[in-house]
Amino acid sequence: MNPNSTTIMSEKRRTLLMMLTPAVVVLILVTVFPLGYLFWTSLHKWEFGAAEKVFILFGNFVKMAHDTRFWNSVLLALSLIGMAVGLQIGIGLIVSERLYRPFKGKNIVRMLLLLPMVSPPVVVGVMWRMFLQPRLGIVSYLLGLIGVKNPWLANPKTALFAIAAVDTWQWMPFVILMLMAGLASIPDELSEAAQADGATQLQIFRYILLPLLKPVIIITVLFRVIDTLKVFPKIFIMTEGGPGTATEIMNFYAFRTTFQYSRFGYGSALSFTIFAVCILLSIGIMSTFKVRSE
Amino acid sequence: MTSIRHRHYRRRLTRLPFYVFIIIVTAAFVFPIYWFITTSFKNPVDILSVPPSWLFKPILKNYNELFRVQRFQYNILNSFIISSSVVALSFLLGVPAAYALSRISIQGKQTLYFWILTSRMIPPMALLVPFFMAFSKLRLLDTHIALIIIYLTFNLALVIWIMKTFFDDVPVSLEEAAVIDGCSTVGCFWKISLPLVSPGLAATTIFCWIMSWNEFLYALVLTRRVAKTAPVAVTVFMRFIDIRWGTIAAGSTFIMLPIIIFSIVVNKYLIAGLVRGALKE
Amino acid sequence: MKRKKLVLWLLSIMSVCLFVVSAQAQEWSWKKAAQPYKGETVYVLVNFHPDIEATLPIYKEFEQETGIKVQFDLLVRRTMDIKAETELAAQSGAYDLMHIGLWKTARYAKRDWAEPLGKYINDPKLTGPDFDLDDFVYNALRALTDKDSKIRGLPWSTETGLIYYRTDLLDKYGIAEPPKTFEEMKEVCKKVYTKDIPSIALRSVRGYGVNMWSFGRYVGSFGGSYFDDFMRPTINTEEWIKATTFYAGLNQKYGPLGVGAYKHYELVQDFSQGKLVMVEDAGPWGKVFNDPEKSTVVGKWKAAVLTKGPVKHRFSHYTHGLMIPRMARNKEAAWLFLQYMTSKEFQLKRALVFGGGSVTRTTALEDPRYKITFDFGGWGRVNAESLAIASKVEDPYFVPYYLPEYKEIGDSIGIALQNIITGDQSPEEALNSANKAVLEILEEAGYAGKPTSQFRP
Repeated sequence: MNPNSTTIMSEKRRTLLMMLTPAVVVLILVTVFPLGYLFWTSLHKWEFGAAEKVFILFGNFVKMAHDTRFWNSVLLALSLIGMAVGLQIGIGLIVSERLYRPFKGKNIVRMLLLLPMVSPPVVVGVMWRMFLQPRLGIVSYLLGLIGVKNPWLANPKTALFAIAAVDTWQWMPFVILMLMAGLASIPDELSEAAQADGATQLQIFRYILLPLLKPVIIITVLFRVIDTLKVFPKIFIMTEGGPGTATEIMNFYAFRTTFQYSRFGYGSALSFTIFAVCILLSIGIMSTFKVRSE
Repeated sequence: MTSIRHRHYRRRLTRLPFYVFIIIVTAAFVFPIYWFITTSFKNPVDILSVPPSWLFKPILKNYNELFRVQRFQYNILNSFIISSSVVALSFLLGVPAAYALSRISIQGKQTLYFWILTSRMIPPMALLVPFFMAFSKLRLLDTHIALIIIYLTFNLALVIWIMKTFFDDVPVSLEEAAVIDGCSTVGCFWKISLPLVSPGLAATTIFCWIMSWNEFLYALVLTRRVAKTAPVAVTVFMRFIDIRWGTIAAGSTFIMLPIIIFSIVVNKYLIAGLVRGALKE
Repeated sequence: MKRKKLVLWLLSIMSVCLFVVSAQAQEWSWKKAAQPYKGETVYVLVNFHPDIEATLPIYKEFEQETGIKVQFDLLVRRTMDIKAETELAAQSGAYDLMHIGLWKTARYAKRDWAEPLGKYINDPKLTGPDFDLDDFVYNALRALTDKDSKIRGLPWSTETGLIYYRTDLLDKYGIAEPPKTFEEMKEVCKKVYTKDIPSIALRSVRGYGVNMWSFGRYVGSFGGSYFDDFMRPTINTEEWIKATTFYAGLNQKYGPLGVGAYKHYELVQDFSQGKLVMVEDAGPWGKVFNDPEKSTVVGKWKAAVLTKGPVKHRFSHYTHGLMIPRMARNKEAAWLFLQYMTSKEFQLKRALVFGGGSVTRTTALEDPRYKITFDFGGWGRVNAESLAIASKVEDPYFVPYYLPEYKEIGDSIGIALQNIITGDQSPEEALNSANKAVLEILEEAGYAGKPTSQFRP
């Protein structure tokens, strides 16, 4: 080996390490420490703001296992994810399938589709709260014209769906754009060949496009699932976890426990659980994906 | 002759439902925003009128209240300062790190990479109290720095993740050629790879900026008067019984405006960056 | 002769001294009291509220008189609550006056976050002779007093629940007087009910400050209580079943469609738009119903005192106040402003000139000008009367707000109540689960089994 190249290699390696380190250090400081503190807090019975605390090891987690309100919040979170992501992928596939081929004005459309995505979640929450006001909001009015009268946000049976719908409105463009790009990267020859063989649009979609699209779908789903688990401003502005506990998803229950009931220790345990779930989910999804791509 | 024209018209007609479809889809996403922005120009009676007022007399009263009375411009300024700083810092730390991750070969690179990603998975709610306690002890509450540090946390991972995939696309051979010509590692990075990933830089800038600009929860808890950002200030208008939709709409419009303009200008890069990150996985 | 002269001299000197001393004492003024704190700024964290909005135009006079500046940080209630919690937990000292209310006193007292105000009240340098602690509406002050009788805050707004009813609709059915008892309420509801304009709506959404606020008084009115003598909950007793059945029944039989999801917001909206005959809710709404921009029933309604139950007459009430946090930096200056804001003159002025009518001073309530200004629907008179009656009731605890854990307790019971209203659960079922939930909370807090008198003020 050229002795020069060895020296260059280690210079390179050193420089690269130097470039990498600051970011890693910062990340450690701002994630590991707070997470550690969070975990430590969750091992105590601790009233928010109190100086005294009681070490109870996993007592909070045991309590969580028995807490019906916690399981309710988990169920709600799962329902929300199911509805929101389901809607987004379902409708997203249909729309992106129609839109991915070039057409006049495609760029403008893509640009306009960005708008909901880049809006602050707070603003989106405020906006839709206004639109969904019974009788006076424009959405309620339009729906009323076709005979649908329902106080969407105030009705325990529909509140969660309303949140899912708003979330879909905001993030479906993301799904559409991702899927469109994914479809565009599939070589046209495949679908053209199938068409020549007499396959219908639907068949092409099902048997050719969809399987090749799987990786993109998986990544998109992963993103959306994690982001939906973390959703906060929309719920805070639109329903505050209500009516009753109808939209009190895991995230919000943790928030309420800490800030309204002042149960710091238990609230931390809840938050930590959400984090753990996110990690497990991503590991799960990503490893299935990695296995596939081998 | 007739048959060609016939075919031509036929094709035009079959394209019609397609265009209708596009218009409906686009409208579904754009119309609510349009409606909301127009609300900021309506007076209270028009806002909640039934049936909704499509045509109305625009007024500037809401914007007046927003800027004269509530001094919203300071909140916008705060948001601007914070977002810009976050972008700058994330880049400073993140882009070199992304390059390094792309080029280096060390043990546990994949684990490191994955762990960087997981920092993005932390629910904001979870770190709220630890951060609050820490900043309170450090007397950093209600300062811009507090928010900048926090947003940095969530953005670094994004920057590294997106930029790494862009750097991965730059052929190593280009750099090797430069090395032979006597280029140092930093030189390669700066002169060769960086210019080639400018679309990625653009995309990342936008994402980081948007995320910081739009953030709500931490801004709410960690600021009081001095550093209050725009999204928090906007919720101030949801009062006791009487929600000032007009003023909220005005404030929200202003919050959305820079982002919308920004996004329209660079939408190509935005979409490219978004998609790249996903497809390269 | 000489001795007489001496005595006279002494007497006259003494009287001169006394005169001078008393003159000095009478010379208490805002300016004088504020002298040592001139130039300081008092930071106030408080929520948006009609009474605060009525305060904003006039507090500048305080600044002018004393040289102490006041800065209000106004936030929406729930946002302010989050802020307050975090600020207090961190003992930041950023605010000199912070919101305190009925639901917060127990917790602020337990954590000792709110300064007991006794030492300021009794300080002749800081408190003017006109202060008159006894002039405060009794319940208002009691709401901010902890179980050791320490006053933790001063009230700037107080209210009881009221009944608002449509005079024209009651007339239509030949009903001359609003209902005064539960029985009468049921009768009236039955008579006036139509599908288009239902008789009544009561808060249904679960929450310690939502449906529990309206419902809490029904428990005592039927003779029930929250705990037995040893802090064990008695939520599934017969009186509770009666109370919940009655409350839910009114909503179910005579209430609007979808009432199971009603908070105060929907009640107020419906009544303002003429879609309800009666509502039973908080005091400040009178102003809303009287506002032609917001209400279509101006001039067509009147207020009435809450109905009396078969056993007792209980009231729902609420008080907003301000407290001085322990870590505040400018406590004396803060006290001066608090005193100013809750003084007889200021409360009356606020009410008369700017419509902040939920005053906390009895002299203000009884002032004839107050009654005239707030005479729409007889509101002023009824408000004063209601506060007076409520203050004389032995047991003001329509809900056990003296427990720091009340929020959680209230929420648990509220869940049961909402389920009963929507018909999702029977009263027995719902109350049994609520009782169990509350027992758990009490056990975890270490209260269960201890004598109740220990916890009640």
